[in-house]
Amino acid sequence: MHHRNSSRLSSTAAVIAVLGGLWGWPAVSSAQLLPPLPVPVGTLLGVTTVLGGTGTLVAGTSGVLQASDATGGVPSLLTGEVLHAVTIGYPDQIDSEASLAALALNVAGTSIGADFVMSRASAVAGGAVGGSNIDGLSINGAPVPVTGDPNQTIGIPGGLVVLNEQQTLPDGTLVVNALHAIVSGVADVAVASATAGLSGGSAKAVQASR
Amino acid sequence: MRRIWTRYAFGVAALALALASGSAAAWQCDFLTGGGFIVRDTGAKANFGVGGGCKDGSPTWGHLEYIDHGIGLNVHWTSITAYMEIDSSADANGRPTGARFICGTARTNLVGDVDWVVEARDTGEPGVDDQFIIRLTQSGVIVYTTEFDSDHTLGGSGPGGGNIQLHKPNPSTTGSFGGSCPALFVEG
Repeated sequence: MHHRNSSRLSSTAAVIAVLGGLWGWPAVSSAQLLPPLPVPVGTLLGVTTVLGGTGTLVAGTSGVLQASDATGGVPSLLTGEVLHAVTIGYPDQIDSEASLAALALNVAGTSIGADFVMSRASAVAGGAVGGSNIDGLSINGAPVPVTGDPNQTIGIPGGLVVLNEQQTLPDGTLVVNALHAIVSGVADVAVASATAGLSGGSAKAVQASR
Repeated sequence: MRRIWTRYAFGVAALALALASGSAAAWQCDFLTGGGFIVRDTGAKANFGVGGGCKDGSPTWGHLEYIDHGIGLNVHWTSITAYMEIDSSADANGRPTGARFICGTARTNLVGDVDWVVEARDTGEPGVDDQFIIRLTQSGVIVYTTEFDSDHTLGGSGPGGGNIQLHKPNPSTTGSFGGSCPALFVEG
């Protein structure tokens, strides 16, 4: 069994500290009401499907958004079950979390399976932390060791798979994709995606573009 | 730290909870979220995603998705009726840890509509010792439960995976733990 957990303190903590202030995030302003910066996936592909998506919670607001489903799928691309996504907002913090089990993804002839996939992102004034859990990962039926390190990359025909992908947006917002499969011009699939930071909080069990 | 019960039998927990109510200082209502899988004593895998908490003054926020591949049971929540504190503490970094009951109603593919209760425990990071237990009832009779399995962890002492996370309260949680939990208080 391949079971790894990982987390890190974002290297952009200083950026968030500057943007967010030392004692808490600023009150909601017109700048924060702008649409969140897009996560750079699927920009060259035609159709994007989100499964188990919470929508976006504006940074600095107290609230909680959730999404769940027993099963979900994108025809001819992937299936999963027990889809789960939550984002919780505080005046000075956002916690986001997404997961699904029994992942079966087939992209451009490469089959990717996992028993369970989860991502989490948490942002507070002064820092952001993210991590992923991936259990029982296999590619084309072969078990794949998961290091737990951010941005572990595995080549597949025509593209790559990134595990525990951690992206920092220009405003310091942290985006964690537990598993991100990209085949150029064919599909771009982020599984268990959690976002937290000044761009807001959101979580998606799946975002698939093709 | 207030530990109200440590064993897995929901009946014992319910009794302890009842005895403890009113005597312990109130821990402000919060949120619990998690996902993962447990491995039943039969060897079958059961996957879950769960959330619970108080929102807008009511302990009725959350969800439950659960699939037991051993018997092909699929449970999809239809309402959350209670969110109850079992015990609360904090880890060395000040992060909240502890256990909660989440209760509700659900639709299943094998036994129709049910009441359910989940005990979910966050033991801190990395989560392998977190625990998930579920019971389904109909008219006060248990129709499915994992509470008598030998292992409830998410991989700590054996198979299993995932993570359960207790989150601090936020201003939207104003309210108290509580609610209605028919699946917790059954005869037996």
